[in-house]
Amino acid sequence: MKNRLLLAILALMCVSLLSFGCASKKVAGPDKDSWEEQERERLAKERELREKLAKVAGELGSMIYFDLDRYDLKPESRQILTRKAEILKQYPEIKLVVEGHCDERGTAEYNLALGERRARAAADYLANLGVTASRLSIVSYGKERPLDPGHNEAAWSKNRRDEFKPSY
Amino acid sequence: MTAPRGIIKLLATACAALCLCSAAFAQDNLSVDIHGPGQARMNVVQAQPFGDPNLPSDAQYLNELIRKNLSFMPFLKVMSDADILGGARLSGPKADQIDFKPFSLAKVDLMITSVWKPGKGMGDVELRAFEVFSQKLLLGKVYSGVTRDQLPEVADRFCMELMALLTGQGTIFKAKLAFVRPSGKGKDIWMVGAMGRDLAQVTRYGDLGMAISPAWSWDGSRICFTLIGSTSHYLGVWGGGKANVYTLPSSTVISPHFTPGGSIAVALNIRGNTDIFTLDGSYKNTAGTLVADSSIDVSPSFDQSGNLMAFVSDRLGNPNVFIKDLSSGSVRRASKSGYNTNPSMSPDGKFVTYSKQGGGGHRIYVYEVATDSEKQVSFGPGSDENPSFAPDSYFIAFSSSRAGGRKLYLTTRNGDGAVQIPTGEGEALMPAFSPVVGKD
Repeated sequence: MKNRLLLAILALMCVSLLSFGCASKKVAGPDKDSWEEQERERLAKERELREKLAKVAGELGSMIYFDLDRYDLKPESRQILTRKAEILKQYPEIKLVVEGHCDERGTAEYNLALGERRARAAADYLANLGVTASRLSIVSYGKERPLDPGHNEAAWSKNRRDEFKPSY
Repeated sequence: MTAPRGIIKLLATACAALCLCSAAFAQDNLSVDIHGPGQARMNVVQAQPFGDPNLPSDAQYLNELIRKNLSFMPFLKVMSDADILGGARLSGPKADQIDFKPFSLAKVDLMITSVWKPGKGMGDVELRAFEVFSQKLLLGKVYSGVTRDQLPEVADRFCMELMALLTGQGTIFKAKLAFVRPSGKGKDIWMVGAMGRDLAQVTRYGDLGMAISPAWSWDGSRICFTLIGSTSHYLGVWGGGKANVYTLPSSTVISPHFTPGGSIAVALNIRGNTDIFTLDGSYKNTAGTLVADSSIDVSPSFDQSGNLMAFVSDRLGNPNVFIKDLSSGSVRRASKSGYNTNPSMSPDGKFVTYSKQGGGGHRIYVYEVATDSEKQVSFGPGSDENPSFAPDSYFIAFSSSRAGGRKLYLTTRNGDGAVQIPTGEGEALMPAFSPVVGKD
């Protein structure tokens, strides 16, 4: 009985360690190399991967959208994410960066937190479909990178979105 | 950023007699209560520069610099030369040679004169402020052997003394602001003096990253910020030269803010929600938890005692501003209704300013702790966001899209007319005042 309890506790600890965006960041402290250089390498690899993936890159990259101040997934978003999970199973070497975005009406810092919830909602859904948590990372842009620069509902509804970037 | 040695020297030799006169009269004459709920404006005029005997060619430039500075003081109404019968001319350099009648007739409260005498560089300049009604000298300063390059410093120092005389506070003229400027796909941190001088770029990420949410250390030597990269957020800390980048145990790093004790408070997602933590000295790990619950908690801001922390939480649905007493742990709600974000606590702990979402965008509000009441201090148009209290707990900088692109503006906690802070080409947003003013 005691052993079972111990196992359950250990299992819970493992699950909590696999949370997106947290456990994946093992490096801590000041970056020793140039951050700019590392970022350039990351972006170059991403471009290279997109070219290699060709056909499926479009499906992996297709966006999902959210209602105002919401971060729950719409039925059509679930379909899109299910397809992404299938592709990720076919390409086990690929990781996926989920980007959360908001429209311009909120303010920057609160929107970073809201964008994070949107990214996390998609990442959680993919994990539930069997994608290993270590293959998923999330980054919130809040309202900092709108897709449509307009100041109306048509633009705002396009900007409340998750984008998906394949990476190694 | 430091004052030129020459000017320190010349200030050391400034005319002590004139200063002593001014101090003696200060309390009995004109004064402005900046602690009240707003006040009537005082009429001020600048007399044309007087050459004793000759006027250097850039004498007018100093007058323009002082005029710009005066326009930042919301309790002053700067009158023009044409408002004075026969023009704002001096008949002589001394008080008993000045004809105050035309100024009195024009209802001028305060007159500023500049008298130039031969000396090194452009010469020596005597700057004086007179109360017109009593014809008394309020403030007098001599700056010897000034050069054209030193004139902005001369204007700032004189206006700082003048404001200190009128209100008891003059630090705004030496206060520094960090702010964010979009650069291509990215964003970078810049800094500027509150009067728009000494503009300088702090980070240079360009398209590679977005450096946002700058906040100063309480000794004014460092700036921390969020750096958004392609796969994660990072913590940036600048202390001169190139900023250090830290990878934290969370891919979400929101609203870092130095505590008065020297550590950094920041919103991280470690337990599935964005909570506010303090970091240890190496910025490797969290050292403590300031706010943690199942809602979004972001944007910490502290008073100078470090006892009070304003922050944003959506625990009641919409995001609202709360104040936590860190010694007792008690939390009170500050903003009264709607969507309220971007809190900035006044260093004296008496007020919190924040932006409240309205129909046409956000507006700046000020909450008074003592009376548990909030009032609107900015009125658009466009969207007014990211207010930041100055070290004097009186002025407030914020960004606004009222003139199209976002720019920085300066108002007061009483909601006096906002004045644009010059920040050069391009947009400017997310202003953050340094908690301390620059050293002499």
